[in-house]
Amino acid sequence: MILLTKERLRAVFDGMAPDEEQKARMKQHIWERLNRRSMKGRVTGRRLRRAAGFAVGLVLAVVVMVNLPFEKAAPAYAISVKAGEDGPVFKLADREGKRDEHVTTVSYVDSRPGLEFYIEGENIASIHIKAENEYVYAVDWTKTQHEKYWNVEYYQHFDEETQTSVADFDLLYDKEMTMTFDEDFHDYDQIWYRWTAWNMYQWAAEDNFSRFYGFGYDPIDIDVDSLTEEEKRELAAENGSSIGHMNLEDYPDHLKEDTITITITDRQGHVTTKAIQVRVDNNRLGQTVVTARLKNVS
Amino acid sequence: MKPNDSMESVFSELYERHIDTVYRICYAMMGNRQDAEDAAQSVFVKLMRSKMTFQSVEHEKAWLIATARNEHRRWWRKKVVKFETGMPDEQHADRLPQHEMMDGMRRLPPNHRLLLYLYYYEGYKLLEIAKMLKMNINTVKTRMRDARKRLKLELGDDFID
Repeated sequence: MILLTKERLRAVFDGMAPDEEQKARMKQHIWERLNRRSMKGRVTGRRLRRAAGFAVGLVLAVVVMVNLPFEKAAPAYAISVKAGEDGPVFKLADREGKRDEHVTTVSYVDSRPGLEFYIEGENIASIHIKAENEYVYAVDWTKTQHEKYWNVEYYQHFDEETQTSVADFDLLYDKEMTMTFDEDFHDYDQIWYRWTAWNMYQWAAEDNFSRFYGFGYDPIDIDVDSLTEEEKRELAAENGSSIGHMNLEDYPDHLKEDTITITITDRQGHVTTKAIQVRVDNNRLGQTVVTARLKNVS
Repeated sequence: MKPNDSMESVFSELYERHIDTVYRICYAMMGNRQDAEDAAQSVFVKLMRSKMTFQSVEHEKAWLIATARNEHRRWWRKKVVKFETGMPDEQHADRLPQHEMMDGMRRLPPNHRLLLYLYYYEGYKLLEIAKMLKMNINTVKTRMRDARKRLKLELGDDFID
């Protein structure tokens, strides 16, 4: 549990500042773009007049950096599922994929296995989402769907005795859900869809978290010499610990997989169906890895 | 600023004055350095080419903030969100919560992250934010409340304001 304070929030934003190398690089690129378009004359006159319009000193930005030396791009957390115009476009992006390249599989480490995806488009009348083995829910920033998707107090209450908020996820998670939209609705991307391995988590949490590394299991002893270069880098970056991850050795293999079926119906009654195949496994470091890929259904 | 200063020095002054703010907004909304850099660059190119006349540095900054927000909207229509998470340094264990905070932040929509940034980091009042982003004040208040609630839920604790 993290004590959420203004200072911590400010520190997060402090950590978002560009470093000197980035600043220099961006400055150079901007300058190249400006010169490339030969806008010098037009810009100079206008800008100089504006600059002369008010007296301003050069402001030195003092940046307090939160030292995060091992920052790196995390794998994609989301799958974007787009429908409309030229037809549905489903694309994933993973840590290796370049922008605008369509790949079909993403894979990432997640100690609380889950998946989040968005559906964009126009003219969508309804979206139906169903999971075979696990559960789905939504975070609805438009507040147009069921209250449980936009009012956290629907499924959580404050326990006076323990002075903590307690969530009853049985009130939020379902095997399937349907969103319907009226003709004026356009903010499809403001509803986030989430798949969560709730059954898996509850199984691992039985008997006081008996199937979590660091609780019921000791963390995995790692033979460094047997690791790949990528795994060594992960370990060096403190990403290699299994602590807090579930040991899935005894979990039924067929339940480590799930199929999320997404059915999108537009206002003319056309139906598009896609499926996301999700699988959760342990890697050699004992961490849970979520792998998701798109499948064509119709 | 002297009238005969070169365009480059004008640009440099504007850039040094605002790059941290513009980049932070882009990063907060887009979630990764590569896209944040591209977007921040586009914002400054737009600034240098715009026909806007600013009455003050604050006016200039407000324009940049709104433009960065618009840049995110343009980018969002094309891209899949890829959010970076910072990894903790083992020698600074007290900073571990920052990783959790960042994780909680990425679960908020970009517009909510922008509001939190403008209010808690830049120190703008809600009315100023509403005016800058051309939003209804009640919408700003509602989104701020939602963002705090959601962050609280994701991190499992109360927000101390």
